[in-house]
Amino acid sequence: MNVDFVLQLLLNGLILGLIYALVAMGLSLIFGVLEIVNFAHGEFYMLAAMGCYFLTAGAGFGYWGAVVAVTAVSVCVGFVLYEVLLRRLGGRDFERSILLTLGLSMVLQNGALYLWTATPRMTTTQYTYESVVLGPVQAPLVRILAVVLAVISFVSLYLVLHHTRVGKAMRGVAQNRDAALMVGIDPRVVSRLAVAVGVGLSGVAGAALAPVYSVHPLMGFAFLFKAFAIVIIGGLGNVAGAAIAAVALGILESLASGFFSLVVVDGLAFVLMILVLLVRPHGLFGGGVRV
Amino acid sequence: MAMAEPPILELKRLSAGYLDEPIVRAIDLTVPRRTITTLIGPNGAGKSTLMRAIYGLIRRFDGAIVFDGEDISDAKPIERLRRGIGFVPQGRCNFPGMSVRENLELGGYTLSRGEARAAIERVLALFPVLRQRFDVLAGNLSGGEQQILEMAMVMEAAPKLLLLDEPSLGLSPINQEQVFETIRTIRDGGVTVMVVEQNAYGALAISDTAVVLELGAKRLEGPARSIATDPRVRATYLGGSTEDVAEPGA
Ligand SMILES: Nc1ncnc2c1ncn2[C@@H]1O[C@H](COP(=O)(O)OP(=O)(O)O)[C@@H](O)[C@H]1O
Ligand SMILES: [Mg+2]
Repeated sequence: MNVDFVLQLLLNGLILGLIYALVAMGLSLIFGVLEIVNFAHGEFYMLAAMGCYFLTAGAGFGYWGAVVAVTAVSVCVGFVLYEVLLRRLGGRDFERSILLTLGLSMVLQNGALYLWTATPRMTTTQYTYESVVLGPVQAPLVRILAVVLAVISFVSLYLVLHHTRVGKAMRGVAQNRDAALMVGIDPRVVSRLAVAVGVGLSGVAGAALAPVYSVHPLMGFAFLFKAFAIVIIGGLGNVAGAAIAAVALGILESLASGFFSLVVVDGLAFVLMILVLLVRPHGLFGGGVRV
Repeated sequence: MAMAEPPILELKRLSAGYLDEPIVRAIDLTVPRRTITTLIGPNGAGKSTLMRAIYGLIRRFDGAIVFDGEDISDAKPIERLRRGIGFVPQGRCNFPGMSVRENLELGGYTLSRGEARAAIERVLALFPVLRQRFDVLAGNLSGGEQQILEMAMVMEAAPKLLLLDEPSLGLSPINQEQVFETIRTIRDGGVTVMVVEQNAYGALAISDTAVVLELGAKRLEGPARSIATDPRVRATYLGGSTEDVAEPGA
């Protein structure tokens, strides 16, 4: 077995893991703050990736223009999603929230299929044929940029959650809703922001991924269940836990893909999830409290 | 002069509850300023429900709430907090995964940055034990310390009326004593306090007025001392014994 090959697998795993992390952290954030499982989350990731394709292929956008536009639109979509659909749901409407977001997911997914068919598409940008040499490994620039985008997003999210008032309020609502009301935090303001940030993160994920892998209307739904597994492994509502679990899973999957068939690789997340649920029901890093 | 001030809180035939029916019904109550009022009654009588209604967390069916001379019957909780009602709910109510510092920062959420900083200094002077535990996660504090932290968080907004729902629940006798002492200090600072207590002796000992709630309705109301010695109350809520009456003071 050769070292370059393993290093290549590790880099691919890292990228995959970071993309998982972006989607899973948004899912976890929304669950932590609103107590809502957003089944439509994968579709926003898909729409962002498709958006990135059409902006570069059809509208003449460059790499950075597409990334910024897709992310900004995703944040706005999050605001609208909260105001139009999620605002009226409380923690007690759990079943209703599942049906609502699952329904939305179906509408978006089938709408996308109707408009664009299931054909996979490759996004090309000015960076598509450039690569970077990192020690023994040569890596395509778009892959490195995906890592950079993910890291920028993590650092920004961390800074917002830990060093701004509204970010601390978000963690506060996730940790204890009654205490949030006690100190005068408006749960609606915080929830709206959490959904905007969560959908924004899946936007970044779609935009970072599109130039690396092919995109198609069904990519979101399959991805979502993997993201659920990651959120459960990391601890429900635990954003940092989700990030760590995501990166670990991405690397494991990539290494496994070097030696096993795709079916085994895709099952890995769920096998791990079941094991974690049996051994540590609140996830590897504990639930809820540590957003 | 002080006589001309309206009472801090007036409930006028207030009915409130959760779903289709009111739980507390037609409550009339006048709370004078700078007093301590204890609410006692059996489990499920509606004590917590009444407190939530005063803070605006649940549905009001009928009647009115007048605070500081103004009708606030339809105000949201945050609006009531801004006007000067602070509410510390029953059970643990803080941010367990954050340090005492961060909890106190969020306690000042409705204030400007500068005001919040001053408010934290003020409550640290009032509750010095929190200063020693400043960087400890709230979830790792003792029950008594958490209760004090929660009171401190709400006191940052400088409420005129402080509602405390079972602040001594689950605490050791020493911590209970500490909580009652703190409530008295808060009152001496000019705040009106309304407290629900299962440790009725401890609460009555520091209270001016007592209200007995039963099945969602007001049963009795009077000076704390006379309620504490009322034979009906004694038999029902105070264990019927005369031996373990906590003497006021200490
Ligand atoms: N969140 C709620 N939803 C519906 N009913 C409730 C809720 N909380 C309390 N109740 C009902 O209201 C009544 C009074 O409860 P509560 O005010 O908590 O009593 P207390 O504080 O005096 O022990 C009880 O019958 C209880 O079942
Ligand atoms: Mg109660």
